[in-house]
Amino acid sequence: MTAAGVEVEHLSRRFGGVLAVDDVSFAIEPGTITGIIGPNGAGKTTLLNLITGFAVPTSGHVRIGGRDLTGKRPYVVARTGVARTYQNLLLLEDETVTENIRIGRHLVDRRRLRRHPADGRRPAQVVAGLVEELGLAEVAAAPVASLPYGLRRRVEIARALATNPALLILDEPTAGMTRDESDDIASVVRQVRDRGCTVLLVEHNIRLVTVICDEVLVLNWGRLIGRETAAKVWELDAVQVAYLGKKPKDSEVGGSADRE
Amino acid sequence: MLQQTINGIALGATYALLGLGVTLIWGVLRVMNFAFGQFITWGAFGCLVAIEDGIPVWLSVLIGMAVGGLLAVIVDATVIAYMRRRRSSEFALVVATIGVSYLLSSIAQDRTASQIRTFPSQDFPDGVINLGSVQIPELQLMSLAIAAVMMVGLALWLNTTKSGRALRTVSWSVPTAELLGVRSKSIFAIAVFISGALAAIAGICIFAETASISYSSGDALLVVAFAVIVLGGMGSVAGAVVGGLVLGLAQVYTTAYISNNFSQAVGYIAILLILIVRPSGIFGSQEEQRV
Amino acid sequence: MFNWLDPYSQFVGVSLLVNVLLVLSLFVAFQCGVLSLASVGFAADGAYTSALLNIKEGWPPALSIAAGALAAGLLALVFGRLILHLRGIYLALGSFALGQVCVLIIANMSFTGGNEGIIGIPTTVGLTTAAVVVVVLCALLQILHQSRIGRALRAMRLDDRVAAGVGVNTPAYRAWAFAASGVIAGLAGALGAFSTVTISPGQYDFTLLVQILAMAMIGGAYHWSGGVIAALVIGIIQQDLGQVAPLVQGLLYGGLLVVVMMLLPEGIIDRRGFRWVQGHWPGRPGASQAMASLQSAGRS
Repeated sequence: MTAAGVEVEHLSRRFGGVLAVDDVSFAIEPGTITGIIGPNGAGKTTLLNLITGFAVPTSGHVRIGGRDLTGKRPYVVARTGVARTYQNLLLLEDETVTENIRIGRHLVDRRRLRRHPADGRRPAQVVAGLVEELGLAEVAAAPVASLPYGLRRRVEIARALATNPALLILDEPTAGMTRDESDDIASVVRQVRDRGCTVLLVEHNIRLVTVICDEVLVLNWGRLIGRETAAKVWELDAVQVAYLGKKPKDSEVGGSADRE
Repeated sequence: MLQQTINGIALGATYALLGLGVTLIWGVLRVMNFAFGQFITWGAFGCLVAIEDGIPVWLSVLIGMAVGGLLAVIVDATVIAYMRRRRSSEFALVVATIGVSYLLSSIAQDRTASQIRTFPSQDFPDGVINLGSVQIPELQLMSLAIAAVMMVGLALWLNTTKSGRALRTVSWSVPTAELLGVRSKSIFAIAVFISGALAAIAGICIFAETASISYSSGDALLVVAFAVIVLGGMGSVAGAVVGGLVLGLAQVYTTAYISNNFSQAVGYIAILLILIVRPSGIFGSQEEQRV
Repeated sequence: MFNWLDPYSQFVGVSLLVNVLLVLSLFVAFQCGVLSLASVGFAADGAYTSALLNIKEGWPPALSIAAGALAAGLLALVFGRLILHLRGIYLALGSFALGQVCVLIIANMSFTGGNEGIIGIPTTVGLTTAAVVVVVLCALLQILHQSRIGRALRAMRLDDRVAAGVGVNTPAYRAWAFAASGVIAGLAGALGAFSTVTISPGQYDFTLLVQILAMAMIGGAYHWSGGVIAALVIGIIQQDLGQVAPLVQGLLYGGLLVVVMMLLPEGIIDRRGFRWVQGHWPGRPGASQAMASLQSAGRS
């Protein structure tokens, strides 16, 4: 899969009286790793849902790989090569790790392709490879429901990777992980990018974001309030206000990091 | 036409009672209880047996309501509570209630030897009141009056009393209610009892009119009950009332102007139409389903 | 092939297999999470369509049966679209209403013979035919089970969003599963019609629905064999009990349904049970290895 770019134009989503996403516009180059940060309730997950079809925008457009996917259903978006993980984890609880990853191969899992797979690997091989890559060998045959949080996150990431995506969207992938574990995920993300995939990463772990992201988008109150290279992200006023409790100079960006 | 309308309203009022019974359960417990039809049957039979034993009619009606309510509580406390504890899926719960319904129906069938019994409508008011060109059977007036009293009583109870408000809190969120000191188990029991009692009284009113009852009478009304809440919106009290009236009118008009046979299908067709067009019903809230 | 059995036993065998088909019709939808209570109605449609085509239009039985099955499937495809966007309980209720309306319409039309039904259907379906149909269908279902479509359907049942997220066209899969359920039910009805001389709306009643629902739920949504086993076992027990009072039937099916839903909501053949059988099947190379990894996973 060749990496896909993302273009978001004046995207908004209104829930009753609340603008969860407020006129957000940005463009992401293919093959880059972009981070999205912001306090809880800033609209990050809603933004992801709008991009992946799990929510319909009230206004605005979403283009992925040049194709207009505004308001299309999740499976349509997925078929264009978009894979994602979910903030609250979405796994087939009663199935094993292997089965959960295997379902990710659905689109490529046709008999013809299985005999002569494009990348030379049969589904079982791909799944086994991902199991190794994400350190899940020990628990490959265990039902997902029995796994601790950190391992379950990894299963979800493996499933997303199994779809061989052009755009990988990760929603807080390292939540609940130790520093070593999140470093492992960081190197996996880099490898994914190197293999030809764009990565969009929502995270609270600023250290991780600064280490692997090329650019960082800052969201607050549903609006895009900053865009910076990873190196400079700490210098952003908005970030300091939100994460370090600095007093805001500008009344547009209000409040502290502990908002619900 | 006016005559039919009045008939429809009277019938619709009893249908509304059925709807209220089901909506109460759905709103509080999120269960679609197929055994509700049996609560109707058994409650009405309770009343029948009491009348035949010589107990005054008004007391027999209350006994019937108590039977319906108790049966509902027993079913809930055993099967449904167990499955709630086990966090069974919605499907498993519904299918279990289908099983309970079939079980109870077989017992009723056995005890009545599959016979249709006459419901002693002679013990109920049987005169007719004439208002100009319209004839209103006293029985219908009685049904209407009972239904109105029940609905108003329920509305008052839900809005003013402590236990009624507790029930509304529970239907909104069980953990919140418990934090506020509500004993959810007792609230469930009260709600279930009331729903069973409503089932019984609605059945009694309807069977008094048709003067017959058999072990399967309640099941035919079950469809009506579901149609009412689907029409009015699940969990909505106002919806149950409106839905009941609409369905009652629809049924009467169909019987009068189209065909007797199709009146059976009215309930099912109503369910289908609403589910297709506006699944949340008239007063229900829209649920977004993206996938 | 079954000529060593007396005619009555053969007839019983056919009705048993017709029930198996009805259970499989429920299974096909249920495996992707659709609890369809319409199968009894589709069976009636299949039966009546095939019977009328044969008696009134003179179509040969085999063609009539095929047409009946396809007609029921078409009905499911068309009307399924109207209700399949609903979730869970609403869908079950809608499908229940759909099935009942089918039977009610048949019962109230004059050309279908109304409540008296149709008589004079040639009895061309014997035990052999029914058995062949069932075996072929099971083979097809097994192929489906092992395919990516089967995998996708099972994922849909557990979580629709997961399936959609990996690209499964969930609305289309649901529509086809429901249509397949209609075809199989219609086939069951049609085969049943041509094994008995008469059919009437009364035989497609709530009692039948409860019976096949019980068998389907006991069998579970994971593999087709569960429903088949449940249908055969329960059917044979019912035969041995002979003509029973409604009370006993009610206790048997109703009670069984309640007990199974309470204790084994996934049915007798759920995913774990199936893998256990696979793991222990003698001679399978991965058996001991699977056991070992399961044990070690359990420890961590």
